[in-house]
Amino acid sequence: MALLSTTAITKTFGTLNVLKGIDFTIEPGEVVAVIGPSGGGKSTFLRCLNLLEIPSSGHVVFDGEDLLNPNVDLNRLRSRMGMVFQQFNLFHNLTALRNVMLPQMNVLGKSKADAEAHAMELLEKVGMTHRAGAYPSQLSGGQKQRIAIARAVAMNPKLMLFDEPTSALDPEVVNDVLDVMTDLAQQGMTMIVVTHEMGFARKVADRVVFVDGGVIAADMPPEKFFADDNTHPRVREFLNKVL
Amino acid sequence: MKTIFTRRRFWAFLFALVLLGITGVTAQAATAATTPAPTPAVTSEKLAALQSGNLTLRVGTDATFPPFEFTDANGDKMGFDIDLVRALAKQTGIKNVQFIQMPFGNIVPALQANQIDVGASAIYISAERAKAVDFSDVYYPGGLSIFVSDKNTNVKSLADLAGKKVAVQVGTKSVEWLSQNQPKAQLVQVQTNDQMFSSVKLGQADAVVTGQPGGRYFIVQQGGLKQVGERLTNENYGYAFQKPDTAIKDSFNSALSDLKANGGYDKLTAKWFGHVATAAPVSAKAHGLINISSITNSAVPLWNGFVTTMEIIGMSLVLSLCFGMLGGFAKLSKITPIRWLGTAYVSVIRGTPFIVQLFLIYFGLPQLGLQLQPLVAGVFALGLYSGSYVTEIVRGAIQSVDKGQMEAARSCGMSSGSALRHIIVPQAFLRMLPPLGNEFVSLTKNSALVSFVTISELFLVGQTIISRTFDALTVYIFIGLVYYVITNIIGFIANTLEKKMAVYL
Ligand SMILES: Nc1ncnc2c1ncn2[C@@H]1O[C@H](COP(=O)(O)OP(=O)(O)OP(=O)(O)O)[C@@H](O)[C@H]1O
Ligand SMILES: [Mg+2]
Repeated sequence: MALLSTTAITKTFGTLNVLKGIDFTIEPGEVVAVIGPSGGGKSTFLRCLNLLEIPSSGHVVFDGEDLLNPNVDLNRLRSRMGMVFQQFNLFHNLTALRNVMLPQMNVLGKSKADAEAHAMELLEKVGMTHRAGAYPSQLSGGQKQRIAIARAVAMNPKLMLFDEPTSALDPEVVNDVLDVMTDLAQQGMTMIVVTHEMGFARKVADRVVFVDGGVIAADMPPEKFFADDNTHPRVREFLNKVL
Repeated sequence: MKTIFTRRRFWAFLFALVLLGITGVTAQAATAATTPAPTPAVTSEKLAALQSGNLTLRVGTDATFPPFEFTDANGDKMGFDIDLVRALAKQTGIKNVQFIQMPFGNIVPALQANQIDVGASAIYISAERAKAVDFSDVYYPGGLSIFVSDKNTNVKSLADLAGKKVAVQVGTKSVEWLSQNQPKAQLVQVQTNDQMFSSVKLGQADAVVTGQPGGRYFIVQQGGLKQVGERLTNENYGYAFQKPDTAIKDSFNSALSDLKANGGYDKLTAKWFGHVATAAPVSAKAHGLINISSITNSAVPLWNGFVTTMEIIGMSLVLSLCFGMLGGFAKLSKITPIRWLGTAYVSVIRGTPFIVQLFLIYFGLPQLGLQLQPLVAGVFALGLYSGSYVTEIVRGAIQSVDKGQMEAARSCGMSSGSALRHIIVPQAFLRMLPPLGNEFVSLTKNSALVSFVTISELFLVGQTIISRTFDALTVYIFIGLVYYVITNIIGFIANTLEKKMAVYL
């Protein structure tokens, strides 16, 4: 059964129709790269999946539960979906370690000791133990993003959402973050990654979803998507621009 | 076009709302005014309760008017009225008497609002006042007189006051009498008795028109002034009572004739006026510019006033934070009526003077049946006023926290309450600290205004000291210094806290 599926979701901001009916599914363990031109609705689509934006219509079913049903415990479902933002959004008033600990304690009810042990384990994995006591303002972009990933992973999510996680980074640290994400994918994490990193999409993703004009204009494996004989006109146009 | 229309509708709605509120309140006040006065049985009950000691006789007085009532260096009230009321109460069998300090002009309203039982403050019996309160028999004859600087040679009579600046105390008989009998005099209305005399000594006014006993007492104590011309009026002093309290008034009247018969009354007049009646003008006492003794002699009442001021600041600060948090969150609420409530709170409280709010709470609410202790009214008014500013500080600070912080917290599954508590409010609080520090400095300064509702805080203590020593310069400099130190400490605390909390910036 699909881990997450959407049917016909639309989103309008005032008079602007940003999403015009999106049907999408992802199976457990799949890595989906979402690419497309700027303003096409990629972020809006991703944010509709954990209801940071409420879809104007349609359904989002995650882990067998309809997120738009007013009776579901949205906080519990959200805790099983990690999200990583372009702007990191680490909690400014907490140290790196505390950033990773707080949601574990607050949402999962873990003890301080358990949360700390788990946090240190994950900081180790992203190579950030040496900066555990630092505040976000004292960290570089790449370091912040690795901690943000650790914070999301610490909740043991079933699905990870990434919204252009490397777009705000200096080029030389982009690979540090991509390496962490590749590791995560290899360990079997289900991931939806909005990205402009075509290399990552080609190598790591199982599917590439092309969002353009508020709809999914193409959905195919990367080898097909990036193939020279892909004749989809909008995809061709896009690829010619970015590659 | 469309926005103009809706804006007009908004104003019309607001206007209607205000009108509705006002008419509602006046309607209630009107019913309160027309309810029949309690029957005599009720007042006898009150008298009995006073005599048994179950009730305390609350006597309102403006103890800034020697020799009738003033405050000594220990902060105790003394004077002819104080002694006589004590003697009369004793004669009547009333056990407990409490003197409550209030500005003269507030005494009649305080009687009407049942905040005091007797007004004893050298009050002239007048037909106008008798509409609002009942008066005892005459307990001392008085009358208005003119006083000028002893160097003044051009004011000798009432006629000479034309075009002159004449100092009078707000709310006293002099104001009305002069406007009828010497409308060409320019009135300089001051708050306290000593300010009247000071304004002549300092050249801010040419003459004082006030009760003869008080003026003569000043001459004896301080010098520098002289009385000119005949007495202007033959007024009589009486004690004022609440209209329904006829039993208490009657018992005071019979006690007064008892004291006059047994010589107790004469002893008191000799004590307080004897030397004045016979005294020739006395030369001025030597006074330095700054008299540390004005402060050191009154160290105890000043300390008590300081403690009261700190208590008021502390309590209203907490209240202000509560109102501010509530208001701030109300203004950010997703629920429109709550948001409106927050907006209305800020708009009304910031749009009206603090002193009006304070008087409304202390003198106005009793008409709606809600009577507050002076301290409660003062703290509540300060907290409410300051809270409207804190509301905007809270709202601004919370809105200034990056939206991504809330989104990150929510995306982890945290509730919005948890996110506020652990992430948003701590960050907002840091941003609030500098403006909060400023706001609490304002609150500290505004706290001096609650002296108007009879709270003996630092400023009022200072005024009573001045009414006795006439040393406004020293006392106000000292009091200013104390407030300066308090406000700087608040600033320092806000700064230190900010530095300590700002580790993550
Ligand atoms: N909260 C909002 N209110 C109004 N319009 C919005 C809002 N969020 C997004 N939009 C609009 O929706 C459209 C799609 O935005 P979205 O951020 O989803 O695009 P995107 O594909 O992620 O683009 P990019 O690659 O630049 O991040 C844009 O035109 C944007 O201006
Ligand atoms: Mg985007």
